[in-house]
Amino acid sequence: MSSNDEEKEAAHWSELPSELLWMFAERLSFVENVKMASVCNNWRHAIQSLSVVKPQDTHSHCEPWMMVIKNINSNEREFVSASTKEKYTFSHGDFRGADLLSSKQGWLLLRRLKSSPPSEPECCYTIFLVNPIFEGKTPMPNFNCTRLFHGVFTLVDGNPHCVVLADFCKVTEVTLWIARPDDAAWTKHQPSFNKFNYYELAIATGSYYREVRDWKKLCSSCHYLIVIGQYVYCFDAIGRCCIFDMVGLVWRGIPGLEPCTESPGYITENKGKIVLFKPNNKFTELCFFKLKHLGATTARWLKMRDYDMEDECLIFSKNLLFVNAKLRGVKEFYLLKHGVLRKKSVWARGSSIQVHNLMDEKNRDEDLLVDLLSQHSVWVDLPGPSVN
Amino acid sequence: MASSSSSLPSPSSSSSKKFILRSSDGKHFEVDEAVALQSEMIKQMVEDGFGGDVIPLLNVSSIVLSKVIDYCKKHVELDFKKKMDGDNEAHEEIKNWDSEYINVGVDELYHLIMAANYLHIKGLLDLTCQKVADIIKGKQPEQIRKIFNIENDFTPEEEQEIRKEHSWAFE
Repeated sequence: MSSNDEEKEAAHWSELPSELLWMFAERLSFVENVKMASVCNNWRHAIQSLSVVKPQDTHSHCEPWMMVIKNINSNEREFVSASTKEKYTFSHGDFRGADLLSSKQGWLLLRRLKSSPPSEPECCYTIFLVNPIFEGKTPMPNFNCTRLFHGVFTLVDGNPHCVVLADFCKVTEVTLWIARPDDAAWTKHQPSFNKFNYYELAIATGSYYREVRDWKKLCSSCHYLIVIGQYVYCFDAIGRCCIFDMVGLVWRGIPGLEPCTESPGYITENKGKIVLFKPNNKFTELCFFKLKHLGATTARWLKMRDYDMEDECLIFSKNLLFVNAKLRGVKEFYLLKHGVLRKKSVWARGSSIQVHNLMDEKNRDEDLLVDLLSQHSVWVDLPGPSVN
Repeated sequence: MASSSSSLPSPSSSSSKKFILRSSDGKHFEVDEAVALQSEMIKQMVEDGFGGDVIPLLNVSSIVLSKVIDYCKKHVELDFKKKMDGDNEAHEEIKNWDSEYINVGVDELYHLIMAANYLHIKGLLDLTCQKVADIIKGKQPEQIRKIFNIENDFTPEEEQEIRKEHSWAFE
């Protein structure tokens, strides 16, 4: 008798505790999370508290998402997954006239050029963060700058905590501007030492200088700015590094870090670690390194084992290269052709994405993606499953 | 019936230590130590000195418990095999067995999740949660409600608001 009763015992899916609903949500993308939040009140509360309960400040791109900007002056941006072909159109007043500096966990750091009288030598930018998925917006102080700049940010409890802008156009020095969302202005930080001096390097390494100079011609502004917790990492064109501690307000060089002697490679962040990706010219051989600190001013690139990167997805540059090794068994590389790759590799054919399958060594063009690339598009980090 | 046993174990009958688990409806299940210790909750109880005779599991019915024990038994067996035969083969076998095991209706799935959560069996919790995620994937809210028999408790105004807020997701 009791066993019959047990069999009929009802399942109460609507009353599941939040910690179980989070476990489902962690295995799904932001799209499904939004749909889960529309099922019933209990599910909605659980999903809405997810970003606070499970704060993530690290990148988690599981799908290679692109933001397509058909018309920069419209409110609409299309988000397209290069692997699943899913497509969503977001409409947001703040998209109008704005271009992307960087993205993390669904937050987009955007800038918009304010119209200024022609007599003004400086350009004034409106800087702000938006989260189109969960309808968030964080304004930042205006920023005056005549040159190109990079921008990155940190998240705490799922919300923007600190934004770092960097001017890398002067090749011999680095300047950072840092602000928190409530600050009235940007604070300028410069190291007292001269970090990135190409001429010193040329003298020290002789022939190697030519390589660097040639490479710089191909890609004049390809330097890397990464922020992890309180530390801002600035990499120059050949991978030398200096670090700014935003809490202690201290600059630190890493003179012991060997510069890249051949191809410079690509540097990004992955799960709180700095990762260097060095493909050979044809992208048939891939090497991943992680930055290992050996002391206050020494560090070196440690080669990672292949299977360390098996499940990883990395955006090395918002408009250059996306490496997606997520799909088990099939390692695929999504490449958006731009400057630096054009001369050196067999990949370049105008602006197109190719997917390179490392298992069968075949390249294929993606029709959808080729179509996308007739428009301006950039890789973005949207929240994906945090559990494999 | 479930593989229950009402007789107490005689310590001399087997080389390995046995545990008796009692389900919420009072049935007794005799299992090997290794099988019982797949549950972090039981492990904790044993470490705290409550593992003496019968371990009462107040939140798990006999039907669900026998299914959970099947899982634990198989995983103890496969873990052993993994050590003996090497990773690859066992990995494949675990995957196949798991996917067959979890091929259940949503009611049974619900009780397995609750039991895995209560007993702290990480592997089973991962397996069941992944199954739910797979069911949800690609579905609209209305379909999700239907599958899991969930009542839509939003007011029409709330529902309209939600749809407006995330209109991109519902097109």
